[in-house]
Amino acid sequence: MKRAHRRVHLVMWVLLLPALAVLLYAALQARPSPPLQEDFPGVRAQERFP
Amino acid sequence: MSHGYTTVQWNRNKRFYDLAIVVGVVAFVVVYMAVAMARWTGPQALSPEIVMIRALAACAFAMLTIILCIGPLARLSPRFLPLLYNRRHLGVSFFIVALAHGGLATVWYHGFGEVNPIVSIYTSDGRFDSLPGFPFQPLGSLALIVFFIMAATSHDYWNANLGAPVWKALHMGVYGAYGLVIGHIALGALQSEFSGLTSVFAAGSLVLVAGLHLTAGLATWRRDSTGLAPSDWVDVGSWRDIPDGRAIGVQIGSGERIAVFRYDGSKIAAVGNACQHQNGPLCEGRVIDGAITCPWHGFQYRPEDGASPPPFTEKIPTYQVRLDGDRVQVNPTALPPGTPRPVARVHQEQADV
Repeated sequence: MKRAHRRVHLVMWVLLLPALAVLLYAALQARPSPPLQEDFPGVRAQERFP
Repeated sequence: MSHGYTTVQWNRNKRFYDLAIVVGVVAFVVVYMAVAMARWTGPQALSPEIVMIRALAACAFAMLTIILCIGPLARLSPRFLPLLYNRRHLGVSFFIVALAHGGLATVWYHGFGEVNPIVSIYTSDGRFDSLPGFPFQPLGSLALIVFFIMAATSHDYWNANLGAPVWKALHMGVYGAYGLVIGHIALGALQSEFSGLTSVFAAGSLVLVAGLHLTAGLATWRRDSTGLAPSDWVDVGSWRDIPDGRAIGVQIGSGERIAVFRYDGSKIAAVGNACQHQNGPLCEGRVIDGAITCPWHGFQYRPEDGASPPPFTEKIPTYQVRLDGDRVQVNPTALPPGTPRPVARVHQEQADV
């Protein structure tokens, strides 16, 4: 590879890695809670507060 | 290397490579579907169409990860060069798998409404003010458009007609498209999958791809920064350290790298290190049938003038070389591509020792 191309490559990954890591982390934090299982052992809110 | 247009210059290696790709893709999709349908049963059972959409997505993402790892791996070790040789076949195969995923998802989720399915992808859902509600399908769709452009221009015909710099810049779009794919997964599949497999798959791919690119990039950065001091004639080492038919790569000042070859036992010649085809590192190549041969795709140049043998027309810069005893000295001023100049000759008795 030519020198300029090598540098563009390196700088791009220096920027891409943190940007995509932050996106992945934020998406994981923002996702909704998993649905309740059918055999959920506790008392559901609807049953406590009908 | 081809003078005229040939769809694919098949050889034994390419047939084996392509057969391995087909077998790998079919095996991946079949195993994924079998495991998924065995795992999700009863109320959690998914239709075969949805499992197929997910299997194709996972397969395409795995292929993209492999494709993006091949470049830096080949820069770190020549053992990976055989993978680089046919990387474009893997790229086109990846696009076909990604297109199958996109096409099936479009038909399944958008094909039965009153709105045009393509319009529906961009307008049907999504909230731009919420991360989990952000429309993830347009991200995948935009990435697919970039991959289409790359697959459609992957042939050497386009490389020759667009010119290496434009072609290379166009194909750098793969990194932006990879970012779009990560966004597509993070805001799509990741939002409804709680086993942790998808997040490990996506994060693992990112760490692997970015880690390899950064490792290879930093290694070459260090090499670029520790070049020889420029002067009229630069001592690059003893000719005895250059194996016959091979080269050493030297960095002089802030210029481009130079490949210094020894061939026919006693001849020394220096040329620019970047191949005209895809900037492959010629110093890692060999002299075959009297011509410097690029390790990436086999493009060839005569050591005497840096020009490809007829009927080919590619040319690379040449450099003047001289010998001072055992020492090879290079004039770091590049001569215009294709310029003939005398090659240095080691005394035959010395070369025979």
